[in-house]
Amino acid sequence: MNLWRRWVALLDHREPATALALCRIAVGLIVALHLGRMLLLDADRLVWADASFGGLRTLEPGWLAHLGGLTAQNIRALTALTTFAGLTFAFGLYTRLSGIVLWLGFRTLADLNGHSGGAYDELLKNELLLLVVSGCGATLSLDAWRSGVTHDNTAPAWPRYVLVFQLALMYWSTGMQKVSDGWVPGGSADALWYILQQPTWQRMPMTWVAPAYPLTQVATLGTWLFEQGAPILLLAFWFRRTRTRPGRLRALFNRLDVRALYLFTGIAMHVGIEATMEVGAFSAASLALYLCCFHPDEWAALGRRLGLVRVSAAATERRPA
Amino acid sequence: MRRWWPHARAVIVAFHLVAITLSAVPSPEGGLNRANWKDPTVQVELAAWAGRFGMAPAAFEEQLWSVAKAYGGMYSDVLAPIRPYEALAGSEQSWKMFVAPHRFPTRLEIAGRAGEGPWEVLFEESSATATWRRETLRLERLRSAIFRWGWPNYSSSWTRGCTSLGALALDDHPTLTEIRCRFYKAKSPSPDEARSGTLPPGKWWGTRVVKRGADGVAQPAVKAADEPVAAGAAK
Repeated sequence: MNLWRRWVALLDHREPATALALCRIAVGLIVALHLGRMLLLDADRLVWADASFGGLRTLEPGWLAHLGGLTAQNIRALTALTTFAGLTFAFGLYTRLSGIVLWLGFRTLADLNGHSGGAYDELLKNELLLLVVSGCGATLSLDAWRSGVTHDNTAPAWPRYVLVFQLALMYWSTGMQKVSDGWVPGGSADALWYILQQPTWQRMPMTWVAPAYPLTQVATLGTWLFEQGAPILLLAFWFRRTRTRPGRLRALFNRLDVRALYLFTGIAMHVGIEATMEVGAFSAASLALYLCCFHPDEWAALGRRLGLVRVSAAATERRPA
Repeated sequence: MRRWWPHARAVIVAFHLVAITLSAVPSPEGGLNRANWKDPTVQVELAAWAGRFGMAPAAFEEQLWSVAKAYGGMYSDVLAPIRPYEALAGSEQSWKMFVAPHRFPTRLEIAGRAGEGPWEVLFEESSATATWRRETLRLERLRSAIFRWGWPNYSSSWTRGCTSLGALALDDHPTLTEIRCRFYKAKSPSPDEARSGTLPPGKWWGTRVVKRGADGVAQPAVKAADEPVAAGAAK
């Protein structure tokens, strides 16, 4: 089979939608909680309303110009609608429609004020784009429950593959851009120390870490290597998928379970970030992608072990990836 | 399923992967601002890298500027064909996260007073006592704006932001007539300085004042002189 046909066949593959559904639930809740907090604290007006309506900046209204512009009321309505769509998307109620409303609403809000956003905006927008076109509502959803037991709980696997690629790409790209002398090997390795001292991002004053300064240097180098090494995650997936082929490196990767090691390191890094810094929805949005790094059969096995699933929901060919 | 769909889908997915990969390639976008390069944080970085290349910092800075401009131009040309797709799909890949530690960070302070009375600090980043609207001002989207306001090229945004925050503070404190927003800018302590409790001296920066008008409504923020920091008052 030539390369193109193999590519087409790969994208044709279907699998139980469990991993995509878990990611859908996580992303829907993350956006709903994030926007819900903005509403409760009246911060939606400050960030997204135009300066003439109490906002921090003069902003371009985009398509909202047709509805009267970036008034406090319009922003409140759009934020509330997007929050609601986040909840219905998480619960899998009219999943596709909820996803489209959520994607449109969130990207409209996120793109309004480029001074008041972060990498979590880009990440969530990319996750939503792929989830909307996936079959993530096929299981663990009210839609599936309403459809009854005969419902097909499978979905195309390619959105999950692309989400895993997105995770590795994000880590690699951010690692490549950490060019400070404080980050790169051979430098002072003091990047994390100084980042932890920044009032804007620190969760609490962090001078007390001084006695453990060498540990922050190790963490600095570890973070840089982890991010630069993101392509290893993709290689680990490839070796898992082709585990029957020969090769010492392939065998070593599978014996060590490099995928699990990489993801475990990533979880430790995000836990460390959350414990010491306030970076908004970024860690949660990143960890949502980790849910796609496990094959639906692995989720089914976990469900059986926890007594949540009696039989495997898998209805298609099994292919660990 | 129609026979052409799997092939069309394969083309779309392949295009998406190529587009996001190209878009994720590191670029100097957003970093090419000469005023920002004069900030001490950037100067420390430039000096460190000049040392690695055995060059004088000023010469290294000039050369890096030329290279970054040329690379930035080439990067824009390469990405031009995929920009419409990015705009449509919302698939931008800007992952510039903590590219370098900010060694001379700013700390926002908002204070108010009635008439010519003493200033009362309402909010200060990392303060346990000056906590006016802390939950709102500590939201990631507000902190993102506050972080940017501490850089020279965001001066007009900072003035506009102070106007909004000042109006909010005057609404919340009907007895106050004036709100002052400013930043305390200081070098972060090194581990040795932190161990010995010696905090590097800093300075007030970017002072703006919002006054309540005769009609009771907040006026636009105006620039005001930055006061010197009192001796021994490093934060």
